Amino acid sequence: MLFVQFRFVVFFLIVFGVHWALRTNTARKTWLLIASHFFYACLFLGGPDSASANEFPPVTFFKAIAAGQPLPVGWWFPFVLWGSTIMDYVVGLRIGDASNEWKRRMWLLVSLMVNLGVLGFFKYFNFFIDSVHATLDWFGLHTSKGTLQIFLPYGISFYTFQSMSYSIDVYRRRLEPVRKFLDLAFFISFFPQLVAGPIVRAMTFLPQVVEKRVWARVDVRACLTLFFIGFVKKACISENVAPVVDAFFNDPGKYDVMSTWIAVLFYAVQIYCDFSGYSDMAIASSRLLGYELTLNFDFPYFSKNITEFWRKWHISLSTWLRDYLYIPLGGSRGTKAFTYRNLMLTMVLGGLWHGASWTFVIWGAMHGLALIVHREYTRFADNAGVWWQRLRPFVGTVFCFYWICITWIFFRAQDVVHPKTGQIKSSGFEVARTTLKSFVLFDQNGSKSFSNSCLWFFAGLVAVHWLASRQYLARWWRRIPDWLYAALLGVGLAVAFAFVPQQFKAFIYFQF
Amino acid sequence: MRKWIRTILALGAFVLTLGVTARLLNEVQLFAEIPSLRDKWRYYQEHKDQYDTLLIGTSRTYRGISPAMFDQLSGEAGVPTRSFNFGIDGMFPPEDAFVSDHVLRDPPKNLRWVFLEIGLFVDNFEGRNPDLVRTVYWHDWKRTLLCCRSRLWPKGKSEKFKTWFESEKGKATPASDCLTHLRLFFVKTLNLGRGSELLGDHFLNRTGKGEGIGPARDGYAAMPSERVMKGKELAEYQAEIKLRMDTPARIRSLTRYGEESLAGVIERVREIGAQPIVFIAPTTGSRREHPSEGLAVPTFDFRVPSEFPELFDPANRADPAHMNAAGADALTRRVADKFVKLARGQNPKPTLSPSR
Repeated sequence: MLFVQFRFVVFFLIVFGVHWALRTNTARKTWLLIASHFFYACLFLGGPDSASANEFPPVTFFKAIAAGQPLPVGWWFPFVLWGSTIMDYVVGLRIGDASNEWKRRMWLLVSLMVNLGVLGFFKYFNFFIDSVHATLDWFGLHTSKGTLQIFLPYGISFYTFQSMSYSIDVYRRRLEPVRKFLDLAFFISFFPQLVAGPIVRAMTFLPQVVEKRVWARVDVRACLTLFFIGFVKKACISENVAPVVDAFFNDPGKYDVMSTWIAVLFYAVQIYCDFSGYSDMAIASSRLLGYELTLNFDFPYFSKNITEFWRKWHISLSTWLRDYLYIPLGGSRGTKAFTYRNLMLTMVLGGLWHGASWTFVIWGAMHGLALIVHREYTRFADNAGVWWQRLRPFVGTVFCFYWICITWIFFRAQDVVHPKTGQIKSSGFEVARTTLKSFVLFDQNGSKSFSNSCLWFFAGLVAVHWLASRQYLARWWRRIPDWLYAALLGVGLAVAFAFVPQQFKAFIYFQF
Repeated sequence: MRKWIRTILALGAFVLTLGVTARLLNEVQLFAEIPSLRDKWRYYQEHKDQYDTLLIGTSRTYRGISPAMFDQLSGEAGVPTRSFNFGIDGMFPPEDAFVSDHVLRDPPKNLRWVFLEIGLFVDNFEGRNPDLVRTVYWHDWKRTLLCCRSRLWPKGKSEKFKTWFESEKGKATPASDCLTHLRLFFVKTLNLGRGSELLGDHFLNRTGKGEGIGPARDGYAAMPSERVMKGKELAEYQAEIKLRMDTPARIRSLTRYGEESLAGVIERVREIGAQPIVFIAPTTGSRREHPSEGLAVPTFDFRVPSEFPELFDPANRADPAHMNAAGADALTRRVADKFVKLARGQNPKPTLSPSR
């Protein structure tokens, strides 16, 4: 069940109606907890493709069970979620009740080890085995590879970080341990943010859980507008540029330079619209239920430099990494080399958080490098002449976006598998190298091309995005009467529907 | 109270504008997302007033009847026509009725004759992907309702409720098919994916493998004469034809819903002052479906091997369902011959009365 599917609207309307009809806060939280687990179950009950399947996953599930088929892959995902929740609940109480600092530290260590251990096993076990095998192979020591078939539970990277933030904040005495298990379970599994964030901090969310939500405080119009914007981003933009991106990255050697540029620019659009669209819909759904989630994107592609970019892109992750990794590592409190080590380590681990692949590591390292270079450059540029100070924002924005596009090439580059034989046609590195040659050095790889109208489409998106970033589109709809707003929403939705493909891909960040 | 009124008013405005906009968008770039229809429709729209005769049907029409030759033959026989072949691959009822409705909505000024091929009424999704735009685009309310009724009450009588949930192994139940039809109705009504299909074609420079309008620009494209059946396919075909020579396929009446679909088109053809003619393409099979006498429509039935041996000659056929170029010439001659007789007032009658 995806936010952009009709079945989500039905699901949400039922959840919404019952939630506000219930009188007590406990009843509401219990209801939302049940709904959250139902939502989570829908993601895997119908099998690996259930996220984009047409049949309602529980129907597929019961049909399969009735036909005597084995349980679907991922039937055990909720146990990991519950295990993580129960463990952090116990750890939180133990830290709160611990009589000395040593015990507090030990309990925190338990939380970190279990959470990171689970995350590491599911996400990095095969990556680790593959890497060791490849290294030994390189030295001429041929070993038999013993990888396991491991399925990554949906949302594990997100809910693990959330529950860890709870344990750390309790340890740091910024938060009282939660006494009611329901509160913590609800916080970790709240469905709008369960699978792909935003990574909500316990400090931000738990106080909202304690207090009963009030309908009068819900700004319905703002929520509907935000949900609609998120829907358009995901369903109408990301999904429509995806075929171009997929066609290119399946065989980048066939395309000319212009098409390489189109594909890379479109991927920048796709990943932004996919993820920020998801975040918008998550925030809007959550607000409609009375809960506030963290802002996750703030027009990152208009950042004037890479440091600003990381303040505006996937804000919930970057601030998490800053507060729970970069600063504990020492942040910028030591020598220059020490600071740069911390920066690089944080970004590489941030890259690795996205997935177990060397291309993600390179992606993180490139951002780390850019952050270091920017720090050095800032000292020099602050003393530059007036003309440069005037040009700097524009040049900075263009150059920053160009660099981000280069890093996206590594982020997107995956092994290309032959559809029939299943063998790897070209590795992710080869894909990245071929694309880079064309994107950076303007090497003509092939003659196949996409329509040049793609560039006009891109230009149109940039223009609309710029208008939105300048808040030109943000206010007028608040002043019009309800009936006119509803009428415009009807027109907008009818037009948007025409650009919604019949079958969706799951959100890109679901895989992380 | 005022708040409730405001809410209801807003909801009403939302539904109204959503519906009106979706309806308007339905008409924008009609059939553009259907490669098999797009080019033919565009060409027809631009040139329709040149034609007085239309041939609407499946690939058997599209590949089997040459308008240029038909016009020449009927002209030589003193019944001049200018015809256009609107046959589309795989266009079975009720899809053909949907397309016919559009073709006849703003008909050619001098339209006089409309040939309608009889095909099997398809109300289920066996062997078809319901999510293809080709399956979606004809699901207007009329066609959706017809398909649902056909699945739930195939004989037109009140079926037992439980039969809606019964099916042969591996096949969908009537209830499930109805739900799919209803889903497709909403997908069609809301234009889901139409713009997306067009955008994808445009971005990826996909030219589309749609049916062309043919070398003579009359909507007809033959299969090459060299394309003939071989091996097992040929042996099976010959055995079938041998059987049909001795025992012609039985004449059956159209299914209730197939007839209803056809009747709607016939009525429309008559409304605009043209003469409908239905025809049954020369294919194999144990039965041939005729419209009921109540429709009073001339029927050209070519599914009789003993009567039209050249149409069943393997040298004239690309496969059991389609003629090749040589076969198309033969079929066109036969169609023109029957047509001329009809036009001169010698209305050919079916050899047997359809039995219900």
